Amino acid sequence: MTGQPRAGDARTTPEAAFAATGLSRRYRRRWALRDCDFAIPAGAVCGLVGPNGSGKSTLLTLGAGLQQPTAGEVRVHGLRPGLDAVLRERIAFVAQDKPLYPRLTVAETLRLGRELNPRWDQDLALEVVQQGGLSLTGRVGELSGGQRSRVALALALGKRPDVLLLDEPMSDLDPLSRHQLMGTLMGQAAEHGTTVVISTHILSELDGVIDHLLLVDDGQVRLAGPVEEILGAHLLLDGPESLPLEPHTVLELRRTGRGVSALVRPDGPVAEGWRAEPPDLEQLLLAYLRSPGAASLNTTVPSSPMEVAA
Amino acid sequence: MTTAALPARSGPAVRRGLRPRGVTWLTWRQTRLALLVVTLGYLAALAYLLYQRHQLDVMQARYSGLQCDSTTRGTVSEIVGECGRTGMALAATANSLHEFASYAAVVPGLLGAALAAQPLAADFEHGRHLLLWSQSVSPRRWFTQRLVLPAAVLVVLSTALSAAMRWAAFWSHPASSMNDLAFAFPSDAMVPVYPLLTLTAIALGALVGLLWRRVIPALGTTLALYGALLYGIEKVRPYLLPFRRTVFAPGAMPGDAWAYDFGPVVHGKDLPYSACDHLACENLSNWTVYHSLSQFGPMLWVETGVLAVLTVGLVALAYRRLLAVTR
Repeated sequence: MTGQPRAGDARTTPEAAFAATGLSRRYRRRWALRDCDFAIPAGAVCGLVGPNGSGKSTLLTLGAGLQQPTAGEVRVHGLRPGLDAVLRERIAFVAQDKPLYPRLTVAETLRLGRELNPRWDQDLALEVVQQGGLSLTGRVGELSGGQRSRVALALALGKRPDVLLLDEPMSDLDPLSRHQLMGTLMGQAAEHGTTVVISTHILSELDGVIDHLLLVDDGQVRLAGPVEEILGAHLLLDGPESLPLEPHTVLELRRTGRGVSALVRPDGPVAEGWRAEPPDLEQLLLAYLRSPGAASLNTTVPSSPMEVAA
Repeated sequence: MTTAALPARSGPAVRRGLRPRGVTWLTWRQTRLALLVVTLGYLAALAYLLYQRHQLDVMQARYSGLQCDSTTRGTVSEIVGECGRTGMALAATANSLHEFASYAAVVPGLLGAALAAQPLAADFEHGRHLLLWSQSVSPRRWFTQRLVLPAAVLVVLSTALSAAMRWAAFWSHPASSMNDLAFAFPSDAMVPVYPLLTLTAIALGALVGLLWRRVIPALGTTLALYGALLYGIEKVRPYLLPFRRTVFAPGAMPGDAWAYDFGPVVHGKDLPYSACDHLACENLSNWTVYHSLSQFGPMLWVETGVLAVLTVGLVALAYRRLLAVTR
């Protein structure tokens, strides 16, 4: 990452599209999120990962301004979602259940988008719907789960948002539809510079798609930063059990036949005898999810909500 | 540190015409059939009301033609029989207006449940409020525009019906006076009370929809609370204006008045009517507290004012609740 802009550099730091400082949200007695700090730069495609109940949906609804934090703050392009009205038309959110009006036709659903959004792009919304071969005259209530997801995404993309927040958008799609829709999504995001935050528990669908990562577990940020930087900060070591692991930070240690496999954050040269390779994204995420006690890594902790490492 | 300027985008397209827009369009799309049915229902009610008003005059004319209280041309038994039948038909027509007004008073509660509580609760129950709130629509705008269209349509319809009701019963001075029914008449179904009652029912439905966020409980609660509201109005109505008191000779009770309570006067003291169980009241003077017919109109306005205050309170509570939901 040498030569890349770093947090705190006023000349090169890109604008943070979605940032949080001490972000906390409580539901009655249970904390869904606690002291979360992160910053996602504009134009990034960020994967939001975590087990069920980890706080992913809460994080996204806070970002969409559908709820307000109990403590701390969340900012989208420097503004407060839900409180700064100008932001309302700049954020799109697709909820996990893809709520739609079942008695409206697909065409009427798109009209709803047109009626409600001043920057509505009808051509784009139609394109997303027609890619899935959906009839405009069909009622939404008669569509399959995957087709409903496509309509929900068409509503979100047609809004032409600056920030697109997707809560497990592909969970009820078959692999082919998932591939198609992800292609459409990424194509549109790249073309319009949209910041995308996509939560999922299907880790494989993130590989090669995201350039930023946010791992949330038990309401706290475990990993945050550019994917390359995070992957580059870890090594997967394979070797005999007797080999030393100091002074590295060991995140996970697993026995594999006669040896061990360790995911570490290296701190100095690796001892002779270890076979070292960078982990892939899925290996890294699984290791963190299996090891709740592993130390967090957040390369985006900003000195202010507007600064972020890219 | 970089600034947080948002990229410039083109503004909203210029929109012309009077067609419903935004959330109002959605409300129109979803409730157009219901609003059509309701409109036809109100028109049918209006036609029935006017027909009954006409029947009232027809019966009165027939009754007058029989000259039941003066000379007779047929045999006594024939005339008495015909007079009795016509007189009963006349009373039945007047009562049908009375019953009609009673049923009409129930309608706002049904509409408040169906057109205010149901859509709001359904949006929450199915998570569709999240869809709308993330489509450039603020919760406040969603709430307001969800209700404005049905409220406007219902106020127009209820005003027309209730004005016709009051005209039919009182303003048109029917040949057979209904003044003796004035206070007993379900005045909730007459202007100016009825349109306000409709608005109150919508505000009540909206608040309950926001509180329950589930369709079935919201419908049930709205209907139950509306029933309680009608009952409460019934109980409070006598106290909306100060009572008048008079003492009258036996059998000379003031006419065209709403006697709220009465009883015998014994040794200058007002006793309750139940005292007649032990006293021979036939020859005693009676006291009564009552409202005169001249108080009927002002009482309706006071009732309207009370409902207006209640409606404003319910709407304020609903907005407050909405704020809490988004916090």
